[in-house]
Amino acid sequence: MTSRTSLRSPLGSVLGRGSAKNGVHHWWAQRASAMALAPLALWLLCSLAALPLADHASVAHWIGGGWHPVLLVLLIAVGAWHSQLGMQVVIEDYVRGTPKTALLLLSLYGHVLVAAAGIYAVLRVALRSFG
Amino acid sequence: MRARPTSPHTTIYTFRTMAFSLAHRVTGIVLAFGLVVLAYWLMAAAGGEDSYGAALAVLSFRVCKLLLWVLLAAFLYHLVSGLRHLSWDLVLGMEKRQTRVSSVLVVLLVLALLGLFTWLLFFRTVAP
Repeated sequence: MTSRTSLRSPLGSVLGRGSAKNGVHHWWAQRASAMALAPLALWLLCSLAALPLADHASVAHWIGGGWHPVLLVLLIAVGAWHSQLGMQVVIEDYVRGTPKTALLLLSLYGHVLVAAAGIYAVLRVALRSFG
Repeated sequence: MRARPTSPHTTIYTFRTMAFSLAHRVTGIVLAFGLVVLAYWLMAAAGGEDSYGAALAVLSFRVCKLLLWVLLAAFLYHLVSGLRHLSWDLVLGMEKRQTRVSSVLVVLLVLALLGLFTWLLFFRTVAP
């Protein structure tokens, strides 16, 4: 404990600056996204293992087929969300000051960019198979 | 800012707890970059046969294949270890002895799945 120059008690100094009131939401979102992500990601892995990955026609056909685009969009959206929540905790734990703010913004924008690209790509493949 | 209370650091835990917790974080960070690879692969597929072929050529470099394998290993660890964390959230298996057993189970399950998917994805070609 660092030496205290204030007359306020340790409890008093903590009471005024406590929880930011969104910790539970973060914790809950992390778990909820994890539970959705586990089956989705396992489904993608098993599908990749069964696909002829070198053949573009087969891959595009699989991406656009049936419920696959729906599940892929969900996987990307929930995956990016879960990843952003996790990276936020890591950055907040290990980085201080201006670099922390910069990294938090970089992580947020990066995740949104990746999610947008992934979802756009899935929709592009899926909608083209109608045309 | 004055020194604020911080959450417990890695050093207060046993080595095993620290190592598994750290591995969960490190694999999570690796997987954030895995999302980039997934988006790259999907964008390449959306671009048509030529762009897909170009991306496949990049991903087929030996160093890229190694990185993809690291990604696979990170995913499998994060998945299995994540299930262990979720069970702790339900206050299941939190006794000292149970956590020791489940840590061994995590390693065994990850190694088994890694062996299986390494063979399926890297040592087998599926005909179109």
